[in-house]
Amino acid sequence: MYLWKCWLEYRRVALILFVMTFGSICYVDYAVVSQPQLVNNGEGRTVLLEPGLGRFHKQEMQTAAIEEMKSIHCGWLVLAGLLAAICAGAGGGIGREYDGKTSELLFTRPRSRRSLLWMNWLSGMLILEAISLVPLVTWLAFRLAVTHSIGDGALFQTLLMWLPINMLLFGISLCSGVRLRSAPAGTVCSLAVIFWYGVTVTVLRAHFGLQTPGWWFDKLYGQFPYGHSQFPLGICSLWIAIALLFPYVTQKVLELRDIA
Amino acid sequence: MNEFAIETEALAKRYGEVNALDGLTLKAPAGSVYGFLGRNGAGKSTTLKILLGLARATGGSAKVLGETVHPENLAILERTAYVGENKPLYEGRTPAELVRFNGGFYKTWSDEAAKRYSEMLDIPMERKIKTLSKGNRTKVSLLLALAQGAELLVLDEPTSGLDPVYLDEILRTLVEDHVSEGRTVFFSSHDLSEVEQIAEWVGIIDKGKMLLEARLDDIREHFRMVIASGNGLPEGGTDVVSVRRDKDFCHYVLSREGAGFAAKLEQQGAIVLETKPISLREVFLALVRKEAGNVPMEVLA
Repeated sequence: MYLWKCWLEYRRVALILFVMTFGSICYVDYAVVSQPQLVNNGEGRTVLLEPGLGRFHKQEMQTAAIEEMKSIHCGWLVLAGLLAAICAGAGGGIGREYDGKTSELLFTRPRSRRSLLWMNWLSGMLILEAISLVPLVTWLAFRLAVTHSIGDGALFQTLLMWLPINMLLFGISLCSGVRLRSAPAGTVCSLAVIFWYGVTVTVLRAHFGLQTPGWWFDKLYGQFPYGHSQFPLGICSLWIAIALLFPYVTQKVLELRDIA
Repeated sequence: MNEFAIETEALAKRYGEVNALDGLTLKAPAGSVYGFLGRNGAGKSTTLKILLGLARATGGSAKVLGETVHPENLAILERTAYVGENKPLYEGRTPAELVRFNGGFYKTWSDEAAKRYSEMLDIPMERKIKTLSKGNRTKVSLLLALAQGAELLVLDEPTSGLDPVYLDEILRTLVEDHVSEGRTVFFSSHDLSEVEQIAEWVGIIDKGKMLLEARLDDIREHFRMVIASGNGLPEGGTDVVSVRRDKDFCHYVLSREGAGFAAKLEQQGAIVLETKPISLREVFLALVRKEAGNVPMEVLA
C-alpha cells in the first residue's frame, strides 16, 4: 500500500519530468537536424552535415551525423537522470511525511520502518530510471526509423554508468530529508553536493592545475559517449555499494529515532 | 486473553532535562473503556506514543495486548488502532483514498464498516483532506481507526472539533460496536463529561506520574471530600488521595471511609464542616491543582 501511496505522490512529478524530457529531446533533435552543421567525423576531417534526414543516408555524412545525435541523447540521458534523482528526493517519501506531519500516521501502520523506507527508495528509483529511459528509448526509436538498426548500445551503457550517480544523489536526498525531517532540505543537500563537487574540481583543475582523483567521474566525463570495451563493471559496482549506504544509514536513523 | 490490555511499570521518558514520564504505572483492563486524564503536558501523549512504538521509553516497561512495547513490534500495530492528537492525514488525498490506503495494511479491516461509519458521520469522501474542516478531519481519523476492527483503540483526544451531535454518535459507537465486543478503548481527553459518559476506568496523571487509577463507579460511590478546620490537621492518611489547605480549612479527598475519617478528625479536636460525595471533575481538580498536596496512588479497585 505504501508503494501505491508513493506512486500517487510521485506521479505528478514523473509526468512533468517525462513531458519535459521528451519534449526537449524532440525539440533539440528537430533543431539540430533542420540546420546545416560542421562536425568532426572522428577521423580528423570536418564534414558539413546538410539539413534534413538526408544526412543519415549519405555515405560521407552518416557516421558523423549519427554520432552527433548520439552525443545529444547521451547528454540528455545524464541531465534527465540527475534532474529525476533530485526531484524523486523532493517529490515524496519519508522526508515528506515529516513535512506533512504525517509520520505518526505512517509509522503506526503495521509495517517495519525498514520496509517503508526501502519501499520509498524503490519507488523513487523506479521513477528515476523510467525518466532516464526516455532519452534512450527516443534514441532507439530515432535510430531504428532512420538507419533500421539499434546501433552499438552505447546509450544503454551510459544509462548503466549513470545509475550509481543517480542512486547516490537520490540516496543523499532521501537520507538528508529524513535526517533533517524535511524533503526540501534533502533536495537542497543533494544539490549542494553537485555544486560542491563541480566547484571543487573546477577550482583545483583550472586555477591550480591539480589533478583530482579520477574515481568514477573522469570515466564519465572523459569518454562521452562510451564504447563497448570501456564499461568499468568493478568501479560501477563499488559506486552502487556506496550509493546503497545512504538508504541503509537512513534506515538506521529511522529505527533508532523517536518519530514524534 | 490477557487481563490487561495495557500495562506499564515505572515507565519513564526523558527529553533532555525534562522528565516527560516519571515512573508511570498503569493497568488498563482488557475489554474496558479507560479514560486517561491529565493537564496539558502531563505526559498523556508521550505515554500513548511509547505504547504505539513511536517513542522509546528511557526506563521501565510496557506491555500492550500482552506484547512488550518496542518500535518494531508489529504485532501490537496489527491489533491496535491509533488516532493521534493532531489527527495527521495526507492533505493531498481524499478520505476514500485514505480508506483504500489504510485498508491494505490490516487483515481485520472492514470496507463495509468504513462505508457505514462514513455515512453515519456524513464524511465527504471525495473531497481532498486539505479542504476539510477540523471536525471532518477528526471524523476521518476516527473512521480509519474504527473500521480497522482492532482489539485495542488508542485515541488521543479523539473528539476534538466534533459538534455535540457527532460527539454523541462517536461515543455511542465506541461503546456499542467496540466495547460490547470485548475490545478495549483507551483514550485521553480533557473533557471530563465525555469521560464520565463512557469510561469505566480513569487514570489521572500529572508531571508524568499516575496520581489516581480507579473505577469510575468507585469514585462515584466511595470517594468523599471532607472539609475540616482546626489545629494539627493530618497531612495525609491511608485513604487520603489529596490534601489542599485553603487558609483555615483543609480539603481532603478520600478514596473510601470518608465518614470514618471525619469522625477521627473530630476526635482529634477538629471541626468537620462537610463530608460530601465528589464528582470526577472535583477529584481531578483536587489532584492536579498546583497547590494540592497529592499522594500518588496505587490501583484502587
